[in-house]
Amino acid sequence: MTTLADGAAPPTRMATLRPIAGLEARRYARHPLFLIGVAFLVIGSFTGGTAATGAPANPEQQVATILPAFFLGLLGVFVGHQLARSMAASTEAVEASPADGVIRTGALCLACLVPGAVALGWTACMSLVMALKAVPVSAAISSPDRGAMIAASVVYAVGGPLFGVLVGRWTRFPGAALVAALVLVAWTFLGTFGLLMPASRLGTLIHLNAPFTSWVSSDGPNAPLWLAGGSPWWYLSYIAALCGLAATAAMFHEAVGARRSRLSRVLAVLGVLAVASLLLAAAPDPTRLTL
Amino acid sequence: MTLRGVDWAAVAVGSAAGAAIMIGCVAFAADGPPLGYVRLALIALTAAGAFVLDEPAAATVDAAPCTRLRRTAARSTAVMLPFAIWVCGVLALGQRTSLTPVGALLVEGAGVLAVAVASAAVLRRAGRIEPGEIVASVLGAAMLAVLIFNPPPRSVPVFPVGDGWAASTALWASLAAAAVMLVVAASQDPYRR
Repeated sequence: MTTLADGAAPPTRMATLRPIAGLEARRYARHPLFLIGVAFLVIGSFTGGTAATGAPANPEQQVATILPAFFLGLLGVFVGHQLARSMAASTEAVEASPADGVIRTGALCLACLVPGAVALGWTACMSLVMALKAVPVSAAISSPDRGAMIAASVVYAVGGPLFGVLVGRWTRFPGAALVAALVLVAWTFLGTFGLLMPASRLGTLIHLNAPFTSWVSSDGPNAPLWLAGGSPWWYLSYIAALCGLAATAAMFHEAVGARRSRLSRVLAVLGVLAVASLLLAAAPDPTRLTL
Repeated sequence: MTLRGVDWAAVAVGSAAGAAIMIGCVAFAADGPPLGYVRLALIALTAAGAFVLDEPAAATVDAAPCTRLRRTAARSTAVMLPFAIWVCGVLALGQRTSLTPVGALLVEGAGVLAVAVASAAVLRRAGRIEPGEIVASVLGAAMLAVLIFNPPPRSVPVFPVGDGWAASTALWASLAAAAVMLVVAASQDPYRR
């Protein structure tokens, strides 16, 4: 008589997700483009005059976010896309494994925390150096707002790779990663039109709808600097919601049945959250404060 | 051996993206050319140009009685599509606003596209049969970095916006000439080395 022995319980999704996420994180950390980005981030930090030269508030605000945004976020679009595409190539081989496409995409999204961790460490180092060198900061920017502006660099570093994963899961055409990077840059350039407009809530809305923003600007090369209107904390919430949307939309590609409808609801909630955050970010007094 | 072998999907997508951005630039160029966006269009067109030497059937084609130089020459004519879009866009910008440095932008476009094809030819020579993806990504990322950070030396601006057009034109003309020579050198068949 044949007896069927009770097999081991199937692994839970979390138990499956953890090792795959670790594997994907190691793949991300070893990617040449990520390593090049980290190298340029370090070089740019020493040559960009952020902390070393005791620069005033403007370079602190602008450079402190654009370096990780570009070298970890924008280059991360290419890394995330390539990792997602390489995962698609092995789909048939891993079909028998307990991890389905949603879990593997989720693991890849978790791996995008690697550049975020680097950005966090870099931001902490820069803040420490600036504190030690007593870099003067403008009183027009409150400490919490400055914290939100700088914290955005971590979200930029995570958001770019997540967008790359999203594009990698949904598109097939060659050069898609570059097109995705161009879309992000063009969107950011469009946001700068808000800075060219007179101070208004509409101008702030146009300025802050971009996935990357600069809070300090001026009316000309020698004109005094001013701080753009808007709430840095709500803007941080907005770009975090965009990150969530990118990750969920990437996982949505492989989802079926109940999981697909659950992800649809998550997408809807995140969409509402993103719109609400953007509106709240643009709601405060749009008056521009001279630094 | 002919243009039939070119990955037209990739070339067309990049060219279409570049054309769409250029149309937007011409539409909003009343006060002067929006050079930032014009360069974004050039990046998309460069990506299109990077794919013209992709040869997925290289193993088969290499055995055909046709030199790699002839194949490269035939395929390189496909770069005329993104370049034609660039020329039309720049001329239209010149018509829209007299502030457009038409000549300098045309040389810049030719130089960038030549560098893209040369990079692809070098990778093709190194054994990568489809160099388009990597050339488009690396060159595109490098161009975005230059566009955003404007690195030194300031005396020879790669993508000028105010002044420095003469130096930039000389730079891109030199790079274009060097790139053409590189394409020829990298397209020799291995037995002719």
